[in-house]
Amino acid sequence: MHDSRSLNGIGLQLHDELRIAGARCVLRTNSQRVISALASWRRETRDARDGEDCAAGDFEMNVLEDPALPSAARYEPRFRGLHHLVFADFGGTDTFVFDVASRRATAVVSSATAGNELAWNSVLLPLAVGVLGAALGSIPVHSACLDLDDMGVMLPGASGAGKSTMCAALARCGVAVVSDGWTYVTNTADGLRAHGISPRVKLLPDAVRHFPQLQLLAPAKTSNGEIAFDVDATSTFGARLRRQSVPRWLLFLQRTERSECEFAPFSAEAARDFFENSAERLPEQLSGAAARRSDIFAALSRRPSWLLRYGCEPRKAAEAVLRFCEATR
Amino acid sequence: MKPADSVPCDRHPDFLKRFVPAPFRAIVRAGALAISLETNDSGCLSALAAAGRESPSEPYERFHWTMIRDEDAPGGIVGSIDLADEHLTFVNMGPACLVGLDAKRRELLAFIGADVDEHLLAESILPLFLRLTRAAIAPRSFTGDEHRHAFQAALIHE
Repeated sequence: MHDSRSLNGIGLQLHDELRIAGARCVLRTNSQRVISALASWRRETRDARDGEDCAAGDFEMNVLEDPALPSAARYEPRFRGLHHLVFADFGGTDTFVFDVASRRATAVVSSATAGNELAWNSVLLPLAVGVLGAALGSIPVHSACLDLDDMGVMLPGASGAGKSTMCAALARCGVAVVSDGWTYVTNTADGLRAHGISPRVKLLPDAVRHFPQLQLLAPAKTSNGEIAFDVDATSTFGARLRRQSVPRWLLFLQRTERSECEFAPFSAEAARDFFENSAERLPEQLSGAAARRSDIFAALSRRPSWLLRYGCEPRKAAEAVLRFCEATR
Repeated sequence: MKPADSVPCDRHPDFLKRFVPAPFRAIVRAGALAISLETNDSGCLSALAAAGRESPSEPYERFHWTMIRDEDAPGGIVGSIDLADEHLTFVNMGPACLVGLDAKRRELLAFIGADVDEHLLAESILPLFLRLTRAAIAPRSFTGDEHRHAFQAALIHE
């Protein structure tokens, strides 16, 4: 039943350097499958595609592939954390431990997970950057982000505010997608950047009314337990994928019963309050990370912000957003 | 356009249960260890007090434990997965027992499921935590066999 695994540098002979959400990741593993699954994040690949930029911070990721572990039935993590440590368990098989203070992730994964590029990109890497982000200076923000000619349109909002619906509607209009649910914001010598990890968009089952592309698909239970369509924006909506953008507009989303689409100025203070209040509390052991996060929230909040209330058809709202961005460039 | 002054948000989510209050506190001597325990469960406190032995004349090493009874973690303990790197040891025995130990900071942090009874806690879980703690303080005194034995002991009482 029990097997002890030591990762004291033994057995993790394969190394790589990755660039994920603006952070530099030193990967050590015993698994060629892991190296291959993460190859698209290799630093040279990233820089060639997205342009060299300053890394926010470094982290280590030590991954042990254990062929004896069963495959995870679902990538539905269960998290717990105390002080600087965070544990993520995937049903008694894949296991991740994060030492946030030391900026290190340690994991044991099954062979099926080791080579599962989709699981890495849609669940495991967002998990790692989400947990370590405050310490890295790559701050997770509850926001979608799209890119209009190298200018980022960020769509922050609470759960249910319509971020994914608006993201999908803009993608159908030909706008490049950076991220859907979570965007990772850095502030380096290059200035503010909004980064994405996964081009996947989660849409509730009733979204099929607005997006006929979903009619042939079936909604399923997602990693946070809700039933939704979990689709790749590039293949489903024909969107282009960008890994990063420069935040230019912050459009805070709010649903309304009225069939309209209204933009109202939103103050920097209100924007900052939203980011601070919706951020996960951090323990006193991570006070330095919390201060760095607040600095980035403050810098982001100084970008031009509006409240976007909409209750109209997503397509009409997306068209209104495009007209608004054109008028306020 | 009238300026907007706020938008609804999910206020300060505690996804990880980091901020479960742990009002019960004690310092317990167990051989050469002085363990300062913080917990939300008085049963954990009394079980550790019973496991500890007074030995005031010995020199002692300080270690901090935080043990959280996790009401949302059902079931008993199951086969474990454990990981150890430079200074961190982590043991995953299913949803009902997750424990991480940071030897450098001298901290043990654990979530114990609501269904893990006091007998299992006293006879298996706490002895395992004590062995992990002793291993962190004096690694050479804690052999691989002892390590294995500690986990097996925890599983026997499943």
